[in-house]
Amino acid sequence: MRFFTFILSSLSLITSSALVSAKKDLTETERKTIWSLVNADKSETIWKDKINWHADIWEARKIANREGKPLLIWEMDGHPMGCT
Amino acid sequence: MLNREFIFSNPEVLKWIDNKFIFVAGDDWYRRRAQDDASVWFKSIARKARRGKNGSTQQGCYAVTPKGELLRFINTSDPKKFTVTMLEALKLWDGVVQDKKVTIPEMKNFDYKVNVPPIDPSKDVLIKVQSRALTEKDGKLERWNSNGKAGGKPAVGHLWIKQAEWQSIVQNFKTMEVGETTPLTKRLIHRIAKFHLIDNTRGEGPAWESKDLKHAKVTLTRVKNGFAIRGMFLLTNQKKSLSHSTELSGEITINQSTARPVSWTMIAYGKHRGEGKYTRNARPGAQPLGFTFEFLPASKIRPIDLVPPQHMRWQRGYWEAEKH
Repeated sequence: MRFFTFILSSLSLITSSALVSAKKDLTETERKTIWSLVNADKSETIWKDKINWHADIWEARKIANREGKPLLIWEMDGHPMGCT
Repeated sequence: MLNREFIFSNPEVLKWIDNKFIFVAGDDWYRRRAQDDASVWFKSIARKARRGKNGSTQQGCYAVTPKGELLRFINTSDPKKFTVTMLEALKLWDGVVQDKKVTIPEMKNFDYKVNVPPIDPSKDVLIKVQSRALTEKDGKLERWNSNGKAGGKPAVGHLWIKQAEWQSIVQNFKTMEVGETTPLTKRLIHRIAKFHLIDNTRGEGPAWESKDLKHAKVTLTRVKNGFAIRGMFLLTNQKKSLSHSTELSGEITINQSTARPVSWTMIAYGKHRGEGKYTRNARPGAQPLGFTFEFLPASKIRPIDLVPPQHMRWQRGYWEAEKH
């Protein structure tokens, strides 16, 4: 985890030409930058984090029954929590 | 992710929705094909919403009683319409007197030919994979701004590695000297390349076929507490309409007493060109695309982290990636 334990204070340290070079290994700084750019921010995962989603419909049905609540079932082609 | 997630990100929706329902999300591709008890039960509900006739789509949001009565259904990306419909459902639920609580039997019939047998995160290895379209601007790398169109958000997937596959890595760790290098197994290289180094930022990107792997090499170099990982991939489909050139790097740290991973972190960065049937409107030419891979320990896993890899729809193809 040592490469990825903190977020860069500045993203201006690297040039794109260095990043796209296939002829040399990425530097540790470049890896950290890509890590922080790619990973979702908290604001982007609010719909997963603020709502307690289940993935097992039968288990969710049992919980709903136990807690006296209705189910909200969200079905998509491609799992909403793991596809895109 | 496309636009329906915004319903559940909308502050006005989040104000009222919390704790009102038990929430469950599913992949309708599996659901409408499977014959397990849960899928059969759900299909009976979808029929009440006039969805799924003759195997057609059942996509959408259903408010349902635990018994299986449909309260309301809507398939929308409009938070206002969604709110109106679901508040109506809650009113109907409040009016339910009989059968509010019922006996839910245990599942008897499973359908693992279609549904995927679950992974065991205490034994197997689960790696969260995120991807995002990036761009180069003024010599710097940054997130690509899609201006509200699909493709500007990160995508999420899961890489599954079986216990035995992990154990072969641990075995290498035990027998190799620091500084020694060995290739990652062909099976894992093909699994990563074909099913995870895909552009899924605008939806379900097409998997690569074995013949598309023009170059795919990943090595493990023994370090004190694990391995450094380095890899290069050049992927091009037969029509030459899709290509992806990317470099992989990262590290694995192994707990030597439990033989479990402490961490497995990798990034892949390169350029991707082209689009799939369900991922139209790609940016022109080869454009920067980044991936992160991060091991999730069993103690941190939420139910939604156990969603199978997208391309697990063909289970043998996923598990035996080098053969197909």
